Amino acid sequence: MSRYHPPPLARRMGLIATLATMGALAGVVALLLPLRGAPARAGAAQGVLMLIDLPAPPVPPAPARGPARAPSVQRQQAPRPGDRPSAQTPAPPSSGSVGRIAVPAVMERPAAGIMVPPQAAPAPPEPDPAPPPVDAGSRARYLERLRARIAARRPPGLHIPGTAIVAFTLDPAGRLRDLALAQSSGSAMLDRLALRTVRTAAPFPAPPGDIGGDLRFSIGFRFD
Amino acid sequence: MSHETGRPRALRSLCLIGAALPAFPCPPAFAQEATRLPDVDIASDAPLPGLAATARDRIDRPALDQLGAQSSDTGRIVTRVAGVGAYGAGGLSSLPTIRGLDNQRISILVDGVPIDIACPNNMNPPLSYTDPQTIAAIDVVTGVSPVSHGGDTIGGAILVETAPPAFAKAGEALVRGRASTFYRSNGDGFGGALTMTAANDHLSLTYSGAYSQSGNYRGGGDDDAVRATNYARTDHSLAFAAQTGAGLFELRGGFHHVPYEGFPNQYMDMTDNRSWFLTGRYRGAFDWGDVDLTADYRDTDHEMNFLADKGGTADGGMPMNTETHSAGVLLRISLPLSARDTLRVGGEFRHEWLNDYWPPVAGSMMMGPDSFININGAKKDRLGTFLEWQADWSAAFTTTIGVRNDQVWMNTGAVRPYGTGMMQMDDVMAAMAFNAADHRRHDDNWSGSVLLHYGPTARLAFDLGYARKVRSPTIYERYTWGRGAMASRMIGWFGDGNGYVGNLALDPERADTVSGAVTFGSRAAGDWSLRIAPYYTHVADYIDVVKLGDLTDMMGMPSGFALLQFANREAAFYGVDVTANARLLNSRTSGMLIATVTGSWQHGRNLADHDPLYHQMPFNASLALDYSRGRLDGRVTLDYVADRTRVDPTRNEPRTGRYALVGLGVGYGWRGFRLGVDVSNLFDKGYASPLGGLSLGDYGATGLLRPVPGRGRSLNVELSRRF
Repeated sequence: MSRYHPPPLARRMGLIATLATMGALAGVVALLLPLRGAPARAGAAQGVLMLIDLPAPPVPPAPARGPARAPSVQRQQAPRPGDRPSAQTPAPPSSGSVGRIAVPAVMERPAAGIMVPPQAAPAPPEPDPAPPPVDAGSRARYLERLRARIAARRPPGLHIPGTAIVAFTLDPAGRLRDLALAQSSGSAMLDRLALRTVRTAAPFPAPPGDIGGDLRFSIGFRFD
Repeated sequence: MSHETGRPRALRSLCLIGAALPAFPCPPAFAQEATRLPDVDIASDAPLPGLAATARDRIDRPALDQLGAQSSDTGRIVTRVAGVGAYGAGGLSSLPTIRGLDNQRISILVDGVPIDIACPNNMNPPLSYTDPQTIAAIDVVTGVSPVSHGGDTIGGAILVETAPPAFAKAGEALVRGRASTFYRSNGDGFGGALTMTAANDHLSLTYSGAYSQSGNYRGGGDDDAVRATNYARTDHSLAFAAQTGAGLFELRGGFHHVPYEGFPNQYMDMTDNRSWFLTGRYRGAFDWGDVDLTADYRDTDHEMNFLADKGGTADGGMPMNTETHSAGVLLRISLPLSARDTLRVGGEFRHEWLNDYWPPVAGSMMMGPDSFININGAKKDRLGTFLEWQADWSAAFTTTIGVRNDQVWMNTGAVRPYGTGMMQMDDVMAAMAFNAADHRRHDDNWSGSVLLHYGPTARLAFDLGYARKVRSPTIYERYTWGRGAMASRMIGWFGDGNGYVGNLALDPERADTVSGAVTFGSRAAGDWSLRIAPYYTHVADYIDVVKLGDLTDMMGMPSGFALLQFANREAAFYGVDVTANARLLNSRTSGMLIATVTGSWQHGRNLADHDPLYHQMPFNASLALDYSRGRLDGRVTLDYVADRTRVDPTRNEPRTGRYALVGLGVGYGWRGFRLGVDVSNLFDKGYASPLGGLSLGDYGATGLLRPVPGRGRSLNVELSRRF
């Protein structure tokens, strides 16, 4: 009684192909690891070196800036569905934390000399002690617009926990002037994602004239 | 638009150096206070890129915990989503359909990887390799899915995630898991599962294992036990993940074994299915964009024969073996170009090798003396490339436009019938014709998708999508050839007892879909919402069947079954899905009560024959009330399915009557334990699912042909522990 046998060589081809791909993957790792260095830790110089001197991002031509303002007003009034807070139930992770201001308890100072500005008491509604009269409500609204614009561009999570805090400065036109990693999340990948999120959210809407205070902000990204 | 120059830059460079030298003071300009904005939370279960949150349905672990012991069949669990149905099959292998498009027309990914079906009866579909006890989440896209989510499909998508990597926070270690065990009274089903993760902040190891077993189940009302509905399955997998400065690396391997699974609506049963796989994945996030690279390999050996209900194998039975090797590489790159634009580009290569042969049976005149070679080393290679542009015009308005090309190459070797005797003459002639033809096929498939999402307020959202998608025929649709009554009935995944013959001249299906959705309210937890989603799909060259003749029994009388051949026809599907939920109660004293209503109406028409299409779900609706208070949670469900009167005459499809099923469940949680007790089909209603097929196991034993009875009342108990 004859029995049909499939060719034995075929059984190994797929496995060889995948092992070859794994080898290519390993080769990519071998090439990339020396570039990226050791995993970032709080205290590594890597966090410090993340200050990026930005070329001005490609700004849409002036006429387009006008209409771009109108949607941003909408944005302030109506945060995107995913950002809506739910007051009663524990907020699902993707709903953000509008209205709840996280107080950074102790800023981690990895190494002396890192350019971490001492954190002010968190207070978008807090009046600026400087003499020029400020509209606290206007500043609060502007901060919410900034945050909403950044939150709208947040990346999907990577199953890596950590909180990265990014500090940035805007010029009076709303363009990004400085961008720095104020606190590393412990993972270089999350840090890059956080910085990239703020960078691609720029240019921001221009701050209103009566906003008062300086234009330095920081924002934390809590990856779960 | 000028670059930063002069003093600020010099200051910055100074600080750069200064930071590397610990005690260097920074200029006062950088010591001013910065206003802290509220944090942005980023969850790892965020919507898939390119899809708005309103465009997908998610069944997460808490929902699966509540379903508990009701089913070991993932394909059946996804039918909770409006618009999703499932062809009945074995107890582990239901074939999901989304909006009338079945099986291999929709994209089913397990941990990001497609799984090839290695069986002429589709007994081992992708979801049969997953166990509800160890699934982390299931995402279902019923509308248009963007081209970046896969090719060679024309419908929606079901994405199952089993063991995502989990890392500890810096400096900590993480050990957590879930163990569960269940018992089902109808069929004496039982099983257990264990998922365990051990991780530090850079390495993670996750083990996932599950076992399920059941005997034949009993139908409701006056129905007896349904033959050939028993099964046993075990799955094990180990996933290793490492996060480094270069990115996130994952390596996952596993083994799956089904020693037996009865199929009530097929002539054969599964007598062994073994599959092992290896998947590697790299994800990197860089300043310029994201990279996602996945490589996978799977080896499946599948055997069919008769289990005891269908006669057993004492006389040799009818052995049928299928072997498949699948390998693939998928690369996706996402480039955020500006505040508005994101570009996604990617490529995919998949290779499938399939061998299907039926060894001869000693002493049988018909099944010997040679092996019946059904598919001789067929190969299907597919190279897909896509380009997708997502534009966030404002916070409210997003467009996703993509184009995709898939090149498909297929070929197969020569075939052979069991022998050259008189009883095998139909197959002998068919094999000669098949071998004389050229089997090489090359398809050049272009697909595109346009998705618009407009959410002017938090409580209103519009989604509109158009897609043009193309699907090449599968290996079994193109390369099966047996024309004899017996050989043809071995082919087919429709559960109707008919015989099917492949067609070398098949062209790819081309589908145009328009799908929309209006969402009122918010689908975030704790809010009410109503979602109405109409759709229309037109499929040119839809692969349906033409009738070659009637199958006759030994005495030449028509048996009620037909010999059918796959052919390009034309089809149209349209319908509407409605999903609503509302929180009726929410207080500390009286607890929380949530009502969920889903309804789905669909109409599928064969435009070439002017007949209804096969296995289209009639109107169906469900109502679920979920109650929770403190440690207690409860659930009442009502499922209704209308009469199915629109049936496909070509396949002699039976009508089924309407029915309503009531389910009741209670759960108690305590210190990580959860005990769930529920009763499904509380009133023991006798019914037949419209998509259940014909009960061929019973037909063979009793001579009585009827649709497969649905499950009767069952008491299900599940105990689980999170640690």
